[in-house]
Amino acid sequence: MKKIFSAIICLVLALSLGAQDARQRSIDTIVADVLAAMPAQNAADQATQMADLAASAPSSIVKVASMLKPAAAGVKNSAFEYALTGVASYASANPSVAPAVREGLAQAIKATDDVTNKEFLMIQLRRIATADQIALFKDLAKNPSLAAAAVGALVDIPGADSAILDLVNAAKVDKSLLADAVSRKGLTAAEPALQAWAAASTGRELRAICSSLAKIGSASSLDLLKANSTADFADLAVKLADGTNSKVVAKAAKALLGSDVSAYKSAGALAQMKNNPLKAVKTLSAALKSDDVKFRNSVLNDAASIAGKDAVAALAQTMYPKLAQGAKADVLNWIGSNKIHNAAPLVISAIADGGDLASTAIAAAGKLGGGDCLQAIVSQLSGPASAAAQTALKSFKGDIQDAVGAAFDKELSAVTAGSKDYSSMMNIVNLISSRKLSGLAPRMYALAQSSDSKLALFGQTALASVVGAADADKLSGLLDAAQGDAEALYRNALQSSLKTLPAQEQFEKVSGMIASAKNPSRFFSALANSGADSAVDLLRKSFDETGDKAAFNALCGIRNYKAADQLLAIAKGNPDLADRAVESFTSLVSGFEKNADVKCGKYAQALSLAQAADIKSMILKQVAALPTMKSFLLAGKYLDDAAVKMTAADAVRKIASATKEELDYSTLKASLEKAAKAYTERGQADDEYAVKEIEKILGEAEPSPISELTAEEKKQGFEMLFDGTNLDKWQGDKEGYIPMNGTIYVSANYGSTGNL
Amino acid sequence: MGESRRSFIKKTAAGAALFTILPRKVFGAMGGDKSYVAPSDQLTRGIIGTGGIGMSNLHFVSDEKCRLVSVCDVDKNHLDNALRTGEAKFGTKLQAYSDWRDLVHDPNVDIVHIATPSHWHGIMAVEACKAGKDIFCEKPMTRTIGEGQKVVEAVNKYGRIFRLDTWFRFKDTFYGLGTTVEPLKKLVDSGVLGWPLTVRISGATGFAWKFYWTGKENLEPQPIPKELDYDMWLGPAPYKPYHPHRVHQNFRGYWDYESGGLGDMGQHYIDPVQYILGKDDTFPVKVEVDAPAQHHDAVGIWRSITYTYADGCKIILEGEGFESEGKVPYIEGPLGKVYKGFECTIPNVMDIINSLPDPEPRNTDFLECVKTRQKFALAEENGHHSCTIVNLGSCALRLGRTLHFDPERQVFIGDDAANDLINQPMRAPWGSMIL
Repeated sequence: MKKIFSAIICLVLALSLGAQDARQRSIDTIVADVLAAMPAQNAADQATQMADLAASAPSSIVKVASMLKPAAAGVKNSAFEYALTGVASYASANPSVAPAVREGLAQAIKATDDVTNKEFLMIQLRRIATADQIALFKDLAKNPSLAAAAVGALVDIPGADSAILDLVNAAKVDKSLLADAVSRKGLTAAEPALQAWAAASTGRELRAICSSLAKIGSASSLDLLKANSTADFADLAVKLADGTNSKVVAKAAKALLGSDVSAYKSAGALAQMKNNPLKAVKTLSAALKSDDVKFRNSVLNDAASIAGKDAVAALAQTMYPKLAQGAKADVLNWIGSNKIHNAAPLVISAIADGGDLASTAIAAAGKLGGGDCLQAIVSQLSGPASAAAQTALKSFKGDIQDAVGAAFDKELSAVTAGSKDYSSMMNIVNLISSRKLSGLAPRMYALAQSSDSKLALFGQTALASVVGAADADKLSGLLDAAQGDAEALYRNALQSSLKTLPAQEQFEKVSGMIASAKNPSRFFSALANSGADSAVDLLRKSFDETGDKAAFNALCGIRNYKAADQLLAIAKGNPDLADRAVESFTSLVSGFEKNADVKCGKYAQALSLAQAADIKSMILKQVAALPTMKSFLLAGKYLDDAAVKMTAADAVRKIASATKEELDYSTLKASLEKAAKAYTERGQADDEYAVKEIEKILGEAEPSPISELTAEEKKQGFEMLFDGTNLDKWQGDKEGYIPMNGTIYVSANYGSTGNL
Repeated sequence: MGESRRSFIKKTAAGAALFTILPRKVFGAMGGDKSYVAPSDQLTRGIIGTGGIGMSNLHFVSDEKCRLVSVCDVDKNHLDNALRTGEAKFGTKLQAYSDWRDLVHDPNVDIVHIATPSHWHGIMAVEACKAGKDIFCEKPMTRTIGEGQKVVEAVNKYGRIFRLDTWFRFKDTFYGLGTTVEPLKKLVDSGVLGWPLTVRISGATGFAWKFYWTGKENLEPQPIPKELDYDMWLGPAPYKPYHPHRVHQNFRGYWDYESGGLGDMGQHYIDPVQYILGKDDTFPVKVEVDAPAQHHDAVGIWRSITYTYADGCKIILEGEGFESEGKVPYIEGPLGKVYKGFECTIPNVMDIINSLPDPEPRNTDFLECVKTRQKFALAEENGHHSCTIVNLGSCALRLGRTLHFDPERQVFIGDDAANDLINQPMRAPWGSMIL
């Protein structure tokens, strides 16, 4: 009763709203209005249009659908397609209008002849169909070209099970299509029919039937699948295994376990375990003895999900001593990635056992975490598994400083006693360095001053990672007195210690060091690191007075925009230093200059002074980041320079795509076509993307063709006033109007009221 | 001169870089020797799809660790090209197939490399699992959320090793950020940015959405070229009359096969964000789109797509040409922001990052994973999660409305039409292969 009642309401609504809307529009007018707005530019517009269309359904929908033409040259269906897809979407979210929309689509399907359009309409109806449309789709399934869409719709509609079974029993529709539908809907009643079909089927059809039987079949399908498709046989055996200890399943599982394909063996084990979960541990213990790594790991994971991780962990620990190396590694990996914390003792003893598995055990211990594992891993820092221990400790959660400090002391006495090589020590120091264990800084100072040159090198290198501001003066003395490689390393450490201080304080500290140093130039880069204004002046002065390359190098490294002009001046006066200077110059301009045009001008200067291709490329990459007309023109000049043409091509493409400025079309086209040619010639994987992008940019930028007067218009005395290039025939105040690319632009500076 | 100049800059900029370089130079390479490959340890690989990506220098390779043995394509020209190139490049004759199932069931193949358009990925991956193969799959992982679920299920059920091919979550400098993902991950994990976070993937933060992957409406049917098995190319996709713009390089512009620039770049850009935010085991609960109405066949453009997680974290995608003006952060939290080029509002941010332990090590050598049966860093589960973010976006775009998602059951809430897009119709017999 309720259904009838609501149907009447809908009918009334449809009549009252559909025939004449609030604005007194006819169906034709509503349809025309909707189509004119397609595609809607946002969700709100779309909703408004679709509400209008739906309110006048079904006739409005039949009307739009009748406009769909068979696809061919010149046929434009897209506005109708937008409207029909849109109205179905709208109906799917607005149940009150859905009945009328369904009715409209159903009528339209019957009235449409073209197969492609008919299928398109079916897909739209399918999205909102109810049991009322079952008969329609069942009928459409008889047409082989529409069967896929029709059967697909039946799968989606709730309550269509018996209609699908009818089609199965009639067996007049493509069998693979029906097999597919049966498995999607889980229609076990279709099993006998599918079994009968299988006997007479081959190829794709047989595969579809077997896949379907694997999903819906009973034990009676096992033999059939075993003979035709092992993968589906395995699927069905696993599906049928439901903990009831079935003999048929046990037999199938055993057959699968005898396969030599590891995936089938694994499925057999899974079926066996699911069939009788009490035997899961037994299945696993057999699998762990296998020499098939894929099989072992599959069963480990499956057993854990069936018998629980604790049971698997317990078994694995009991069996561990007797397992082969490969299976031991699997168990350790499994414990680590599943974070089985109570298996830590096993992992720790595996670490102590050493040998090939130590690294695997260390990685597992690293994942488990905790104090015991930490000690076990640290104990290996000085052994053959030192590298693995270092890797595990780099990501170890918690405080590792004391443990690593103790390991360091032990290793140091072993190394100084001459009993060991240096590789473990290197790993330990590397670890101290990467974890920034600043509490171990005193040990690093001592190491840095060791009489063993290799150990000293380790310590000097690590210092930079463990020092703080209080270390500056100590490091200054070490730097001044350093020899060989140590100089660079102490400089690094000094800079690291200063970096948290404010710029001016850094400058003052370092200039103080310079004043009292035997080797003042060693402090120039620390001076530059301060970034202070006074550092720029002091370095330039030192370079001018002494020609000291160290001062120039330091000037190149300074992050202060004041250095840019100095570098440019040096580049102009010293061709041998030009590349180095403009590289740093460009980096400063890129980081500090805010005005795009000034920036571009500076890049142009840099490009004119640069000599090496890699420097020019580097500058062009910066030009590419400026989305302006000027930068486009600048980059375009380098498209003919063979050494940097690819960078120039990237630049013009990026600029043209990003700029909001208007570019002259012929210039744009000339440069981009050159760039496209360069990409095509190079032909790397991503170059095709680049060429497509260029085609798109040019397509959008192309000026619309200038219209011409028809003979009729000419006869009537009309005249073209705008030829796309000038305003000669226009009257009035022409200032502020710019003809460009076939369009008349109004300058924003001039105001918005036209007076041509 | 070039060398010394660069090393000087590195030294002044980052002392840390020196450390790993210098001792190596002094003492030579360290660590266990894994360079020898016994013939029985050599793996083999077959590529399905020898168009652009399958033939790229990155993937059309064969070496002693993993030998390329077979190739498959539905376009005879592609296949011939692969055979010729293979012979010239590796000096061996590759086994050629035109039906991918023959490659998947080839007993000489250990690893199936899926390099087809994405409407095939799910079916091929599931079938490869059944055949006991390990899988190297190009992005995006699958074209629908439902297919992704099936791949996860099959990989687990058949105990396979799966790798999705994007890599920014574990290596390489990450687009506009100018850094690898690890320091970002450490920064976010440290909590100094606060919580929840908003990540903006936009031209303004260094990411381009490649809107040239749009489709064309009103395609005029054309004769199918002789070299192409078009029916097999379409496979599970609905039958539509042939037009060259549908296939090969342009297929991404059609919803039946992918979802434009979002499908092409989405997983590259979003997967690392999912890792950074620690969302590998959950999904957004809401997706909102701002876009013109979409055509049913041809993929169009969009202004923005916004994803919201249950805890308030957001991922905002800004379409090409619709980027925020001015300087906008890549990651924004209540306590700090990170901009393009890893510029951060937190003082001494590198010191904070350096003082934290590294993220847990991950397995980033796929061939090693295949041998030891360990999960790859980007595998079926996290891959399905980030691909689902892409697919949530395409569902919301196609329907033109806000959608609410249940991350537990992986279904849309209260929207049947959206749920229809989770498992889209497939042409027989392909549908039942993936069920």
